Amino acid sequence: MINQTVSESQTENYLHRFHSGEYAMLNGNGTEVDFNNVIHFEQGIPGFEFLSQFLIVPLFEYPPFLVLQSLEAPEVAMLVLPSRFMELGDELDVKTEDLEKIQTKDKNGFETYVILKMSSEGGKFTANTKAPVIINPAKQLGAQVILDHQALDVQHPLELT
Amino acid sequence: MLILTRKSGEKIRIGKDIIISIVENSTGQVKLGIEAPQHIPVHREEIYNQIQAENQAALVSERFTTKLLDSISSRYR
Repeated sequence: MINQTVSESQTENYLHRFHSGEYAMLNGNGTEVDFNNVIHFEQGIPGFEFLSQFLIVPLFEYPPFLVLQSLEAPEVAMLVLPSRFMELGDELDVKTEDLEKIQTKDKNGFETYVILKMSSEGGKFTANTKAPVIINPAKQLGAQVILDHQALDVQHPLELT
Repeated sequence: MLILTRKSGEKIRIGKDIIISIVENSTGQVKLGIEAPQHIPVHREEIYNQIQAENQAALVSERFTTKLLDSISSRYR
């Protein structure tokens, strides 16, 4: 059984670190983080398999970008974008067995985000459309899944439209 | 590393709930069938390694990204 609850002492520790600026990241001052809305990643994410609790924080000054940030290790923070901005359609369809990881069968019952990375040339972002992050907000469960479609790429250019 | 010889259609059991079947074995390629519980993710090794590397390279710091975000976020509103 997954332990989804965050204990009081953990929350206190997070709050302390939050107020000391560790969680603020790109959002600057005035960030409101809802610690009741922690997303549990049972498998962690590739490269950070040992981390399971994440926040997804909207960047109010930079919509529609958000930050996916680890509670256990605040330095693990990534820029993400809702996948609908990627101009991809069916290619991003998530397999039923992947949806089971976030305990949903409803094709509309979850959110899909792509992780962004600064391209090596600088000045641009690439999006990892090959391995999007899916989140079931109702159950506070998340997973990074690997999709098979040929149109997807770990370094998909982020086209400005 | 344990090395076992198997023919097409034969299986290997790992622990009590993972079964690997040799589906087809033709020149240079082996097709495997994998049955594993849902909590055990199964991936092609090189793709998993690639995703790991991408995630680790995607970590952001305020210093390097705010300027870039300033220039592009308005175009997504």
